[in-house]
Amino acid sequence: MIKVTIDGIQVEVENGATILDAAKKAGVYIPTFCHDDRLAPTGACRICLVEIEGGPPRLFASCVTPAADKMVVKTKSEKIAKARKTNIELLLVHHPLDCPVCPAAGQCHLQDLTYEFGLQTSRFKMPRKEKEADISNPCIEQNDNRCVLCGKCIRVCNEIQGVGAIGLVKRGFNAYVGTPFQNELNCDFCGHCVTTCPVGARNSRFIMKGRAWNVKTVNSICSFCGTGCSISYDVRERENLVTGAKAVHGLGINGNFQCSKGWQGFQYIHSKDRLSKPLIRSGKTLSPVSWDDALEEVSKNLKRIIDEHGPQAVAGMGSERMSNEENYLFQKFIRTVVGSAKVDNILNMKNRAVGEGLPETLGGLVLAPLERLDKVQLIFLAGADATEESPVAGNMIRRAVTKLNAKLIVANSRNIRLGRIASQSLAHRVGTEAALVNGIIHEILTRNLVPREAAASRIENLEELRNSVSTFTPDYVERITGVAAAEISRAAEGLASSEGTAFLCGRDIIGNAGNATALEALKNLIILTGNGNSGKGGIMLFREFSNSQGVNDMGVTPNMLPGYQSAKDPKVREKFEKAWGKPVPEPGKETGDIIQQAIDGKIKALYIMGEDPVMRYPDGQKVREALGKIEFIICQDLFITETASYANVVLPGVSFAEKTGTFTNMEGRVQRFAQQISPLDEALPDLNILCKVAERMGAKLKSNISEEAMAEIAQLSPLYSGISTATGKGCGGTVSYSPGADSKGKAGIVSFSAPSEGPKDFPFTLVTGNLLHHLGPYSRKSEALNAVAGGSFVELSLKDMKELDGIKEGDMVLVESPHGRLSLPAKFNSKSPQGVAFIPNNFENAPVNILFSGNSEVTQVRIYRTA
Amino acid sequence: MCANKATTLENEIDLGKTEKILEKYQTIKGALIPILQKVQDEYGYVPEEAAYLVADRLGIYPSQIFGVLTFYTQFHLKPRGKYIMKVCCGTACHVKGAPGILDRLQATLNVQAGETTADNIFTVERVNCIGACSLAPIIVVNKDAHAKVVSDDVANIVNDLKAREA
Ligand code: SF4
Ligand code: SF4
Ligand code: SF4
Ligand code: FES
Ligand code: FES
Repeated sequence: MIKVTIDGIQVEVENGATILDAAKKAGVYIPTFCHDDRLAPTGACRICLVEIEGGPPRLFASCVTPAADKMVVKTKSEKIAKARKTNIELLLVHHPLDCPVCPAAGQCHLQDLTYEFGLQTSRFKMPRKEKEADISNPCIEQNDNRCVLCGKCIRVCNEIQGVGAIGLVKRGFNAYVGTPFQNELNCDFCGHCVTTCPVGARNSRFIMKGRAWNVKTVNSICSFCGTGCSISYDVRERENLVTGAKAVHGLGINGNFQCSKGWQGFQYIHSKDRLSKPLIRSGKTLSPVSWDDALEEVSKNLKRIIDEHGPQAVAGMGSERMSNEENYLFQKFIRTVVGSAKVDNILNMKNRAVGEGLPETLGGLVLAPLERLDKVQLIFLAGADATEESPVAGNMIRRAVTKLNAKLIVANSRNIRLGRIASQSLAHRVGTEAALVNGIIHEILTRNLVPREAAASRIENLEELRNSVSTFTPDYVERITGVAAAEISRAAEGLASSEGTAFLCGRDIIGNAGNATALEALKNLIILTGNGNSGKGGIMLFREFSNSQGVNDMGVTPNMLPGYQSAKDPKVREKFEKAWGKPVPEPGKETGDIIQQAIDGKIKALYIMGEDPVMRYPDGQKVREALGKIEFIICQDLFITETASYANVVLPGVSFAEKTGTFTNMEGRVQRFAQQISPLDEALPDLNILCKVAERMGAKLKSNISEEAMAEIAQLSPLYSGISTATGKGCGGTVSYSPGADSKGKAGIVSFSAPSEGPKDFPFTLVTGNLLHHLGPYSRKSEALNAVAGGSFVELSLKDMKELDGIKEGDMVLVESPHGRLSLPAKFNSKSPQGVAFIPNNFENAPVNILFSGNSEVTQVRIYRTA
Repeated sequence: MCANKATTLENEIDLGKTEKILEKYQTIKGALIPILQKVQDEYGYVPEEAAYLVADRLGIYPSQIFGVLTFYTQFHLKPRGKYIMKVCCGTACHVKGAPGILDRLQATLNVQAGETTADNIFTVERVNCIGACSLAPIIVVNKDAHAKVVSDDVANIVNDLKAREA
């Protein structure tokens, strides 16, 4: 530690701290433009000048000058003021002082300093830039006149986001921030450059007006994906508007990072498509009605159907994007007020193993926190296009690899972006993950890459495991997966020698029931390589939506009550019956999920809260047929989603900004989102809606207050007891899905059958997933996100495009599976290997699920040019 | 995403030449500028595709390469003509009528300074003092200097070169 005096205030700072650091500690303000704690210093703008007493007579840029012991620093003097003033005047040669129309007004250092020095204009008279703002990009505008060339936008894009989309072009008078070769900005649209710009030079083109002095900031959680980033929202209280969003350095698990959805996705809150009133169907149209009429319609029909067909004719579908409290109350409503055991959620319907079966699947493994990525030597990324699925987690991986020297092995059937920084890319055929992992295990065991004793101490049934993988020789695995035997050996060596490997699994593995074996195989590998609970690595499962984890924790599943307590167990039911004061129905014996049961005519009424099965159920034809058969459908949502257009009654709920609650993220971390504004129009908080419906049905659901609901959850579910969610920083407690640190695991035995060769006339394998900029129905209501990703397409490799009689980017093609067809523009993507096509699942006007059948989101297709 | 750009373009230019240069210099630290110079020597300018390829191989962002290319005036981003017509606009040449000469040349070839004629034969450039002030005003065509030019000479110089091409 060294002692420094800043303007007479003595502080102690670490060796190596800058004068600016010391000043911050002393509470002395020094203006800065180019400095940013997150970025490597450049000392470019020279606005942070200070004097060092007894030192050389020149002025020093405090942000790059190290403090020294006993140094005495002056931050205010005539000399400094003069130099600063000159600097400002040089900037004002170009800077237009158009503060009244600038979005940065009120939070701009240049404005403050200009004001401080009382400058009206610059002494220096030179031709001004007078450039028109560059609005060639639909989302981000660049106003070069206002730019002070601090370079922060460039550095944040290079250093934080790792995209490098923009740079300094030309020099001197002509210098500006631009894209290479004046190409259109083609980037992640994370918005870091915009939220970092110290002046109003780089802006979103979808500014929701909010002056710095009349917004307050509310720290909350992003409502999109399962990463669970903390985001700070700008709120205009008087107008009841949310006007901005950004990640804040040091806040939440994401720290610096935000993705395009975290930055601009919030705009759906004020979308003009929000439902302002409940709707009731008459004939083909949905018409607005009063809450009274809507609630009457709901209760009347539910009661009638229960009377006529019994409570089991009513089913409920909960939501991966609504809070724990709402999901909890929802299943309680279906189970106790309706009396039906049929509640479920789409994730569980797709793959029970990571839904209500999660604790069993984990088999003692504990989900590792994301921060562990910063500490491991190796990251094994399987079946996850992390930068698109969970962009901030993807960025954490990138940081671990590029800054913290972690190695990365990517196993994916497509050439994902992270593959570019991977030490190894295992590009396997679609659906062969299990064989690949078994091949690696085989290699580790036969070559004793993990010493025998170590393996035996980690795995109870080592011999059984050895036998089960005995056929997975490198040559055989190469034949099945298309990954060279030598690569498999190399991966095995890397995994066996790493001290601490994080295994991340994504959509291709966990979102797909057909691939349950891959997860099982991966678990064996985790335990074998010593990355079970006592190890330094661990397992992480990407979660698609903000509460994909929580909806299952809350027992919105047919066989489990909240906290994965079996509904088949009479003791468990008794406990809940006592607490709820009502009988809890036993799970029925029907086979198939509620969509199948609807097709079989067993479901007469379906209550869908915050879900869009028409878009999300894997088999698009089947779900449409099922909804068509159901007599009475209630949809509770913000918009007329594709599903809501099948509804008989639509109940307008509110967005996360208009209520309080908790989400449980991919780590099992329970985080509270705070209310920012009051409910819009006649929309009601979803807990209130559930209570009101219950009341009409003659029952009381006790609490429409989120905190009280959470208390009830904590009381009934040991999983959530002791979870604190009241942290101001937005980081709650973490749920553990496994009983404890049992270091010895039992290997699951994996049977594997190679995916059958597709029929010859359907030569392409079609896969799907989310685009970086979209998730669920809400992102499609953000104008900014639609501006950067507005329509669907089919991605093909360049080679395939050439071979399909020279298809060019943008040409319309017909994609046809044995089950359906879609007409889409073709798009080149280097991600797609030959023979693999990709269609995003985000666009309601091109529902890719009509091409799939059964419970798999992979199919064979043929593709031909139509125009 | 951006770094993939090179592969998205229909490769009209022969990137093999860039590959060869990279093979030789890729591993040398600080070789970016020499590499770009060599690329320019090969193609006469630095093609976008080549810049993306260099970026990819050196592990830097194309935006950074573009910064270097636009920082130094020695680099050209568009194909240049067979004859580079440099009109000196230094002080001495300026005083002796360089602006009029440049105007005339631009009008004759129907391009602005910095541009190349559609047939890729002529590129007009405005340069600063080339150190031959006693010969002002001066036009340098590739390596040949035309001294003490008057406006009416411009047409002749151009016509001679055109005749050579015919
Ligand atoms: S939005 Fe993000 S990726 Fe795009 S230029 Fe800005 S910082 Fe870079
Ligand atoms: S746009 Fe903003 S952040 Fe970028 S260089 Fe200009 S002033 Fe700095
Ligand atoms: S990564 Fe997910 S949680 Fe984080 S900002 Fe993006 S969408 Fe929101
Ligand atoms: S803030 Fe110190 S030089 Fe820019
Ligand atoms: S000014 Fe033209 S040669 Fe010097």
